[in-house]
Amino acid sequence: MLRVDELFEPQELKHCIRDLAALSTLPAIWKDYSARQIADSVAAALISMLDADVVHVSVPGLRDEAAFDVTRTGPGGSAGSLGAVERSLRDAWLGTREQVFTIDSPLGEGTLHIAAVPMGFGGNAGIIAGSFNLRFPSETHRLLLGIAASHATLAIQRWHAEGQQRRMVSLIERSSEFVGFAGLEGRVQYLNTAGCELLGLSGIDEAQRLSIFDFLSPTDRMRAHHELMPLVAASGRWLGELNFRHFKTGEDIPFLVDWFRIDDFRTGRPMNMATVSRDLRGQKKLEDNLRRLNESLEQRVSERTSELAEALERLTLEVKQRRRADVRAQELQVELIHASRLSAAGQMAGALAHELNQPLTAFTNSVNAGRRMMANSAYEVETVRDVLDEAADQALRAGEIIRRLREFVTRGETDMRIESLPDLIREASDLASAGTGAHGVQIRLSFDPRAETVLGNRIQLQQVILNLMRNAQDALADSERRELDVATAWLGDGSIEIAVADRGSGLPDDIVEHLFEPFHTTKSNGMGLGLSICRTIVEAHGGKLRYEPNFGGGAIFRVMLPVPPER
Amino acid sequence: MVDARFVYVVDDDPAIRRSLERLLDAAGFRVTSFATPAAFLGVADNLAMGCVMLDLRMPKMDGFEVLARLAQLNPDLPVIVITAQGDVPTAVRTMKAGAVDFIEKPYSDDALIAAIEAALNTGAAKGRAGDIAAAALLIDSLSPREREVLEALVAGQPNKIIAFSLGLSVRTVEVHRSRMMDRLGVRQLGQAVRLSVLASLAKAG
Repeated sequence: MLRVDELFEPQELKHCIRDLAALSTLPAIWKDYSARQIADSVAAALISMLDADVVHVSVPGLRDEAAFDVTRTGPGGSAGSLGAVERSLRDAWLGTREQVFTIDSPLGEGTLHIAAVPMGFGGNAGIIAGSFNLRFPSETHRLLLGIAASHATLAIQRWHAEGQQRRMVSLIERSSEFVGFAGLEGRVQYLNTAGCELLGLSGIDEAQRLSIFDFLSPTDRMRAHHELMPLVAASGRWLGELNFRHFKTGEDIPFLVDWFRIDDFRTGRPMNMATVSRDLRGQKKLEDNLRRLNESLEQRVSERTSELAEALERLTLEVKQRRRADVRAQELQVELIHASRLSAAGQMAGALAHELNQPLTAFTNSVNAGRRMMANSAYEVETVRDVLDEAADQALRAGEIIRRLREFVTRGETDMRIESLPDLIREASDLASAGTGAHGVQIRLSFDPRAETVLGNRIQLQQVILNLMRNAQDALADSERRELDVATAWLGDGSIEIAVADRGSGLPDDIVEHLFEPFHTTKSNGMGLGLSICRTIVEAHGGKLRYEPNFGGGAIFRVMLPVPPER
Repeated sequence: MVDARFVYVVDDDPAIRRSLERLLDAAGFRVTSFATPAAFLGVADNLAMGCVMLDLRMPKMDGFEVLARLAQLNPDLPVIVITAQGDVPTAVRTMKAGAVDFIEKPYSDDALIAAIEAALNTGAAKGRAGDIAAAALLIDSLSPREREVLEALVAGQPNKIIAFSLGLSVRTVEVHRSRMMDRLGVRQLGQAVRLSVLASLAKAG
């Protein structure tokens, strides 16, 4: 209880008012103080105001701040162990729980008068003041102590609360995300540094002059105003993509926007709107890069694929060309073989012409001479007969030349031996079909097992077969059924047969009459010697070459050769 | 016929010599045969005026060489060349070597006798001079196109090549060729070649 009588002492009252005024200025000084500084400040003030010898302030741990104690001693105080003083003061106070008591002084000789007051934190928090003054504590002392404790408690509590807020603000300020809040009508109240920088604003002052819709790209403004804001107001939150507008460049910047309502936690009434939004450019760029990479990968794959396809096409073309070249080479080879035979035949024909010219000229001369002699009676019959004899001699000479020529055809190749007839025909057939890509004639070979061998000159007989097959192929060029049969047969009369049959146009009768005569040909490029030479060769082998029409169209040529003698 | 008409046959083929002797004898000529060029050239400068029938293809010495030597020994003796090679280059070469005519084997007796009589009537040098003038006249009567075709034929070109180089069709070349032969009054290409060569000698002279 305050003893009012003391306050009526004018000096005492004056001191009290002065100290109260001093105490009331402390909170303003503490505004930027930490909890420890506040505790120290209040301890120092109380030493002075109460004329105390020791003041101990005990502050409990609050949130993440540890508990601490501050102890101050008066000007006459000893330099003894403060820790021991603190302990004895606190133990005494905790022991009595009285606001006023006395203890043996931990500072030295004598009794210490103690005044203690708890601080508003609860627990063991409080301020303990001690003095050797016997009149301590007066009512005024206790009043000042109580007021100082109240002020210190409030100041420390506020310091703790502000510390929390400062941490939150620095967290938000240092965030790289766009963080801001606004009034319910959309007036911007706060925007963090990242938000200002992202959109080219100089700072919070500039932002506070704007509405949240000023932040949006014109394309999204209407939607945000009419659709999203009512949605946020109603449901409390919207999450989605919006384009913000850079205030300097006008560039549209995509953001992932978390737009939410903040309600008063006590009343539940909506207070603010806020957003935490993320700049999506980096992500978009990454996505773009990824997509481009994908596309370029696809493109490269497709390019490579088409390159491969082209390469394949080229290869296929090359293969075709090579195949064509091969066929052409084979054709040329066959042509060459044919040409060399033609040229041999041509040389033969040239030699034939020159050799025959001599006897023919002499023969003509003689016959003409005889005719003139017979018209002139001066000549005797004997003379005319001589001339005609001479003419006949020359005719025989011509015949002799032709016989020699025929010998020449077969001369040097009269190497006769036993040959496998199927092998011989197969080789000739290969040669004949080598150049027939264009004709596409289907060749069928069939062999009579009883006609296994033949006695003859392999090259010559193959030339005969080749010749007959090529004739057949030519005949089949315009035919629908391009089939060519080569068959051997044992005839049972001591001979074997090779039949070459086609389904071509056959031969007209006037050709058949002169078929084997030299210089008769139906071919535009032929010499008309082929069949003639064939027959010569076959006959040189003791055989025969015959023609007959194929039943149902076409031609059959039959080569008949004697069966080789048994060994 | 007062004067004997001499024909000198030079041919290595005895059958040809024998049959020619028979034929020309029956046709009223006096025939002397030589089996080798050497035998003929040995007496060539002493021979009476007549006509030589020379085979082009002989062993040891061919007809061209005989022509060349004869031109020095007895240039007045007219020579008819007999050949089995009826090709144009041979004909051209023959005419340029100084032969008055050439005949392809085998020949008809009428053609042979006509050629011999023509040669005998005019004589070599004089005959050739007359022939050259007559040939030049005939060749001049040809159209430029026909002359081009003839020149190409003399150069030994086949119809196809002529058609290509003159920018004509083969058929047109054949037409020109046929008309050209008609105008020259010849039936064999060899004769046309002979005239062409003779005419060219006129220009050269």
